Amino acid sequence: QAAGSARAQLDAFASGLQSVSTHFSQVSVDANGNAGRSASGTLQLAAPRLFRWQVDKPYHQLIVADGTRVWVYDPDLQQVTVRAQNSAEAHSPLNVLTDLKLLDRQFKVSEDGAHDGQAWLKLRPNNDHAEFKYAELGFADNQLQTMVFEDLLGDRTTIRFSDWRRNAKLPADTFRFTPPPGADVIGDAPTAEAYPLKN
Amino acid sequence: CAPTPLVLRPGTGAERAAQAQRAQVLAQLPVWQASGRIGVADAQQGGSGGFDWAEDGESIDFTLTAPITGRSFRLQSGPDGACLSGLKPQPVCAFDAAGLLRTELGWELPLRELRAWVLGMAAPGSASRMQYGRDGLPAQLQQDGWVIQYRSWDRQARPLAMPRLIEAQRAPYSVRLYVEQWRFPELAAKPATASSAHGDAPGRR
Repeated sequence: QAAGSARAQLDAFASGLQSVSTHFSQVSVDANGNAGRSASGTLQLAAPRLFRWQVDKPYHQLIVADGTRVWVYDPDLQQVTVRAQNSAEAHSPLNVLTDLKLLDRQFKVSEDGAHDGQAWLKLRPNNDHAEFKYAELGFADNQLQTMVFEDLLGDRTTIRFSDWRRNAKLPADTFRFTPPPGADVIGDAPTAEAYPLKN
Repeated sequence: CAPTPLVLRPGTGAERAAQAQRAQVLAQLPVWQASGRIGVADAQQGGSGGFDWAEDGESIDFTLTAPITGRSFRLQSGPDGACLSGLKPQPVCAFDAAGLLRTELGWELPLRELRAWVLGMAAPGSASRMQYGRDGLPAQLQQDGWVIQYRSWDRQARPLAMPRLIEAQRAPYSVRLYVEQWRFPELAAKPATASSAHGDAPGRR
């Protein structure tokens, strides 16, 4: 049940959160309501801005942000693309999740009522070259249950999270990525700005 | 599945005849849809996502979706012009689709040729060199300064084997397509989709 305000639930969810892992299922609908792609997999997040987004079905894709770079590995394409983490990913919806405590810096955040058994926050990007018009975060029982965002194409992507595990011990190499043999690595990420990792 | 290593040799008479037949068969099927994964890169950066590509002989409807990793965009191009939407709040339109990709994305892609390459054949109108692989199917095509490698094929596709993993390269650009599903709606029999077909929606209308 959507108990407290969404903001209160966000704060409860984000406070003391060092690392977290969850399952996600994502589905997109285009502006005319046609079902687009769907995907499911696992997500791990850890301070300071580490994330691992792994799609298992219906295709495979792995995105790892190691604090300096964001690696995107597509086994079907036998290709790894890499870029600096600070620049690109700052505009992507995933960045919302990595900086839950700092939302107000990037977005105009407002309560957006309750529906579907969740209390909702609406996020509008402060800068105008964000890749999405808005994002909505749905909370219930002090947990983030749903993220919805609409990109500039009018596609709405809904991501449902389940089975949150807070501050679980994550394997050491969760946020590290080494390109597998045979995969081509494309794009070189300058090490201009490296985040000092405090383990 | 690791693709067979590229063995490159000129085509036998039979292979060249089969290639001529491919061009003929596909010329009768101007309406097609392809969907799968796409990776595009230039010297500085690259991205990957899902793609839906629909053609009907006159117009192109191409959508790249990368909701998490990057930008989704849609290119619609027809005889009277092209529009690119999803990069800016409002669609950007111009007369020529390739020019739009150049100005809006900084990509230098020969769309007309790419259409033929992805179907497994050279584009008409300029010299090209096709080399064949161990399995008798096209393995590498060179045209207009581009090198197109056919790293794996979908032999169950109808009406004939269709490329599955294709890479088109011309420094500093690389376009890589993994086609999960080919569809030729005009085929009389129901097209047998690729073994790993998914519930992806066909090209968007």
